Amino acid sequence: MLSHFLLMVVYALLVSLFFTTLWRRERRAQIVLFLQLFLGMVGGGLIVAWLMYPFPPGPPAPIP
Amino acid sequence: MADTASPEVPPAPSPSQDAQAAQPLPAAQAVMAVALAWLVPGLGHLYLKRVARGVIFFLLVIVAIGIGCGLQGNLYRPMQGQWLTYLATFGEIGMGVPYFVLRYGLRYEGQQEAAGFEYGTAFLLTAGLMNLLLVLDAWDIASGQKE
Repeated sequence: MLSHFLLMVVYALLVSLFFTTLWRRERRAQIVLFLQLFLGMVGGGLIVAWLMYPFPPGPPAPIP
Repeated sequence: MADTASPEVPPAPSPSQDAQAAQPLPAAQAVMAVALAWLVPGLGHLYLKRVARGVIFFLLVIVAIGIGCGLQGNLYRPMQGQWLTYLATFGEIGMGVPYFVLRYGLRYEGQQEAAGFEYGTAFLLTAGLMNLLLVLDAWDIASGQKE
């Protein structure tokens, strides 16, 4: 459950389903919006992750 | 050649359909819908007879809260001198009764040392903000601005 990618997918799934139900009534429009939101979030996250890949990680944050 | 075809006019909605979509509820019922929507996720939509949507919203918000707590996310409370905690607390109180059940019933606080702390906090905040949007949606439906 602590996989970063899995958590991102679950989060994107929840938020996409929420806004799809909130904003659209027709089935076809719901599917289109769901795919746009879900793939946008997951794909956007992966793109940002790859853009950050060349940067070296900093020291771990201290636990207060 | 002159265009003799009549311009396309969208069919007018039937009086009953139009009245159902745009008729605002009395103020007391609208306020009740908003209050119920805040108290329990999806209950405002159930009150407004949007049963399927109410059930879906309830499940989505409860699942988000469950995952957030499972990951030991932060259940914010206002802390003096840390102004962002006021904003975060407002966002999480948006989830309604579940916030108070977690805070005072189950004594839940979250664990900062937990590996999923940050993710859990994001889920809990999102649950609160989603329910705040549901409150606004219930108001729009009750006031006739939305079907």
